[in-house]
Amino acid sequence: MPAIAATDLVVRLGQRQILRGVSLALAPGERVAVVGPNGAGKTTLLRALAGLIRPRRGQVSLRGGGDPSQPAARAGLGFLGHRPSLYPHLSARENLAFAARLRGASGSAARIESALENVGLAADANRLVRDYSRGMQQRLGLALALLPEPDVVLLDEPDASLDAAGVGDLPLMLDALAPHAAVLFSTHDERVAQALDARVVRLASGRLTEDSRYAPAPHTPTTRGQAAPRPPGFVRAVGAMIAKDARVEWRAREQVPTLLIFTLLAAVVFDMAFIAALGSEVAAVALGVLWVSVQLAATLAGTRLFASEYERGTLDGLLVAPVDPSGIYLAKFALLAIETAFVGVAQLIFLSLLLNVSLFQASTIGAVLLASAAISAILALQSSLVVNARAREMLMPLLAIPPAVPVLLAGVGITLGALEVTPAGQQGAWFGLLAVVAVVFLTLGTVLYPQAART
Amino acid sequence: MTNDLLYLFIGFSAVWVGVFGYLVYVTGRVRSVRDELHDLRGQLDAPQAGPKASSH
Amino acid sequence: MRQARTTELPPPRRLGALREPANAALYVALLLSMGLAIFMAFVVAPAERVQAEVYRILFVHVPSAWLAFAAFGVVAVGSVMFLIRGKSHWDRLAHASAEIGVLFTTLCLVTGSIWGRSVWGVWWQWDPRLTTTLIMWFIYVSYLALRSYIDDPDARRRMSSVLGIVGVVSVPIVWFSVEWWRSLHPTPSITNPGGGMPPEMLTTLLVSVAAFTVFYVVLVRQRMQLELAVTELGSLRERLHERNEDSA
Repeated sequence: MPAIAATDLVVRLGQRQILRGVSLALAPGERVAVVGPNGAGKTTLLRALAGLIRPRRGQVSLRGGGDPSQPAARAGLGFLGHRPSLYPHLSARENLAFAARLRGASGSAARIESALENVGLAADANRLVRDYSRGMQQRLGLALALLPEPDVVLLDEPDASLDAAGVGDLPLMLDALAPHAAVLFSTHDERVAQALDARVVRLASGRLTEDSRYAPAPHTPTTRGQAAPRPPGFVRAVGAMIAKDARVEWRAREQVPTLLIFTLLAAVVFDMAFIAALGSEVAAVALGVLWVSVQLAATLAGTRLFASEYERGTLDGLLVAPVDPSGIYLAKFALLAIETAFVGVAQLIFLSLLLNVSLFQASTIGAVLLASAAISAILALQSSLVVNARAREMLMPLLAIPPAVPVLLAGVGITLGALEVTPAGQQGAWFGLLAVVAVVFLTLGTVLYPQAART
Repeated sequence: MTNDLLYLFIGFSAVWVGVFGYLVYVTGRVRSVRDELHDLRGQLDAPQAGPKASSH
Repeated sequence: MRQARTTELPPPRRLGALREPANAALYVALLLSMGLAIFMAFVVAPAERVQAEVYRILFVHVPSAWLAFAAFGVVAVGSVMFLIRGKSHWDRLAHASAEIGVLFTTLCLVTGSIWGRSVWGVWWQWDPRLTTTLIMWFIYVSYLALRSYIDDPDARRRMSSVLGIVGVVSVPIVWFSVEWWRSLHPTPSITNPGGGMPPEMLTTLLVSVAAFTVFYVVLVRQRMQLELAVTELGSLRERLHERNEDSA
């Protein structure tokens, strides 16, 4: 039973056929190098084997049956993409700890230390990755790929940006961290293949030009290694993603401080614009500014939600983890909901102070919290749709604001009651509307995000 | 009363202009894209006849 | 090898040409039903008690609205089927239908506005039916925008399918808005048992809806053929490019 098997794989990207019928098999423990010129389809082949690209035709199976598009089959899969999936604002140790939690590896501290040791980064483990050289990032990427004690390893040019010593260390890293794994890697340098004692297959114009049928490996596997490791609990993985985003935000301060200033700015600018005309109707100004600024702030933050992962190349890292992609949507939803609620409550305080209205009440705070959930359920999904669109900052408001109109209406309705412009009795229905919007879009997002993410 | 009829007239013409305009636009586009397709097919088939192909 | 590649191409088709029997039949049906609908709208249907003549806008306004709903329903069906089956013709159907749905929604808003100017004295009212319709229009405009902003065809199909499914939530909201909130918009007199519409008016309305449906089918077919031709153009260009690279 091969550890990795591809049969007649055809992959099209856009109009272009990248793989034109690739068949390949690796025995457990076998190492195979894919060599070929630029544009031959090496990266695409590895991504298809990792389940990141859905083949037009043909099949991939891991460990004799696991379809890599199923999360469970990706447990025990080590993957290093074209760019290592690293968060620049986390240290090397934190990056590895996040990856371990995402894979449900508990008691992995010893494993993390051993991985750091073996890739030669033990001394720099607490430095932020943004201060790493390109070669150090590549070493950390290798540690990340080999962390989950993988039985199947896919490495896209593992020797890229490594110095001679790094390339020389590659066999040691593999022997130490993934001794029994089947390893498929791409490279331009056949000496790397020799150093790793790997069978070489050649890829040209989307076809394997050398016989690639399954042949027993020269070194027979010592373990069967067929049982896939246990995938992590879904809730724990979502929790790990939220905690990771919170930590990145704490370090990078890309969102919350700017959003706070933005809401204060909105309060001041809108107040100045409206107060002259509506001087006696301060309540109208206050509630209009409150809900418009909540919506705009959420749109602003929502645009970055998936784009930040996509631009750093870390979205692949999340998608290749043995977690259902809906978990990514839920984690991003939770992050945006927390941020939006935070700036919404802040805006209640700003407006109460600036306009001397009693906005800071239980019902308006409740409305802001529930509306943040509803609006974030919508925006997290829309954000995932614009991730590879051109000029997504332009597109996002267009996509995000129309479906969020019910949230605006409900928020305004509740605030009117709180300011005693309308009788308070109608607030229940508006809270109901917010809850319905939140539930409907959370359901849609959970079901549909995996469809959008599947490439 | 005449105002009434004027609004009626504007309403109906807006619909007809919109719908037929769209049909004419799409049909025209289909035609021009097909012409281009025809040209490209000619270019693709050309080398089958003779070896002097690499003009583009 | 190269010869095999070029002969793989489908034979040139005259999609949408009037000569094809199915198309000819469609165009004949279109002209007949449109003619009948106009005749009935102005001659058969009686003048209304209060609004006299301007109410006749209803015979284009209501079919536009219904066909917009139907078109957006088709968008959702095409999107779901695309995500399940992965065949690009489902996506083409969704795209074509969305564009035509936006067209019909626009016409519905414009005719409604003209009618409102005559009867209410204003072009626009912040009424639930009108407002929700406008929001629905925005949602599908954003659907078309999303399509035009994504260059990778696979991503474009996937992402817009998701949005095509999400967007259809707006259709029942528009439909039921007159019942959920107090509205100035005339309530549907067809679904109301014993509603105030005389039989001639009702027949005329149904004939108009039928004519608009034929028009919708004609437009969707034509738009899908355009999309098919454009896609084919893209792949032909790609092939030509690859071949020139090969021979270079």
